[in-house]
Amino acid sequence: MIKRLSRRSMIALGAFASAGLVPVAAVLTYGDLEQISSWTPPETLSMLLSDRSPGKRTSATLTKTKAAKARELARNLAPHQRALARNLVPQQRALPKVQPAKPNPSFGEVLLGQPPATLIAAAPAALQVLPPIALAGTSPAIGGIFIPPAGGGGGGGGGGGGPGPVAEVPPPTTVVTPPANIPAVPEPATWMMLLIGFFGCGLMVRRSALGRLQAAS
Amino acid sequence: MATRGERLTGLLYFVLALILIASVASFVTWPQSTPAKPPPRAIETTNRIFLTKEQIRHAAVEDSSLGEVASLLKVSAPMRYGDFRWDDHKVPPGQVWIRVDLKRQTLSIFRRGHEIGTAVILYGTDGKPTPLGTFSVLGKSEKHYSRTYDAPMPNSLWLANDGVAIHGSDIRWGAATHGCVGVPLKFAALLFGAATVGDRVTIIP
Repeated sequence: MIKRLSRRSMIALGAFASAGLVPVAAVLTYGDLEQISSWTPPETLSMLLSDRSPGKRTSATLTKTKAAKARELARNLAPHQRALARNLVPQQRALPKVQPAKPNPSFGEVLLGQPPATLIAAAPAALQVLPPIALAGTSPAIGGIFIPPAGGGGGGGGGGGGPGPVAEVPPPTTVVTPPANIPAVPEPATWMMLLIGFFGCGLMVRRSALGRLQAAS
Repeated sequence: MATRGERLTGLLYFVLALILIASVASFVTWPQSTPAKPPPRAIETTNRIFLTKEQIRHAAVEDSSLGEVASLLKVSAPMRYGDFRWDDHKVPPGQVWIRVDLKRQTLSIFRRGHEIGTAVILYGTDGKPTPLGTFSVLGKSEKHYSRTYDAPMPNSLWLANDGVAIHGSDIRWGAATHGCVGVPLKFAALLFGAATVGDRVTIIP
């Protein structure tokens, strides 16, 4: 009974105290209640102007000024302006004249006909300069893939020609480099883990000791 | 010998009593404190806000062009795209001045220092910006149709010889002009009626 009474009184007292805490907090924050009651935000002209503003522009795409838009605009006009705007809206649209494309003979010759003689002559010379390439990792027994020098020449180039010597690329050797910085002192996290482990050990020892005591008694 | 629980309860009571005493004391001391001087506020009527001398002085320091403003129209909430206010009731005839505020996206027209109209505007894109500075109305054309942009530009007030004007436009979010100042169509008609050739137009960034 006493316990319940004291609990009730405590709740009532707590509620009353928290209600009284509000003005205390207000005074601590603002310093003066008089100021709080009559406090209004100071207004300047620029603030008044800002209050009516829809805000700063965030997106700005140019207004579409095509005929459909103009018609829409005409709908919003005053009656005496509407008739004028209707006349101003273009009613018809002139399409550009369509003409069939004429084939260009010189263009077709270059694409479909024989390549010029100068190009054929230049091709093998250019290819011979290139060194043979072998893919890494392929064993010499199987034979590497390589581009042979265009010995035969001919149209298109690279048609004939015997296999040349295969240049092998040695397999790359992997070298594991150690990380640049190993801290000499353990990090805080490491320390924390050490301490937690230490306390855990202590707890276990304590528990086992207590268990032993209880078993003895 | 008090138990631990009793001691704790006693401490709690003590703390609560302290809080109560502090709150009562603070109530008692308030009337003695000096009353704070309320900051100056504008005198408001049903449709207009008359600025106090201090506010006008402050405005002149902030922006020299605003020193001439005597009153503003009361706009209770931020205007939306296409919104405008117009009220020239009891405003005496006199010098008309138009102020275009690009940052706030608003235009205000003043007569003898009293605002008679305000609206949300559209202005030039970054590629085709609206020129800044002070201009004067070079000419007026009520029924202008732009051949360059194939669009009607009713109630145009020309500001520059290269085609920059204040004209009626479809005001909506996300839109911009080619350098002109677009105002709502109905507002454009009112603006056209109120402004005359030679009136000052200030465009501020």
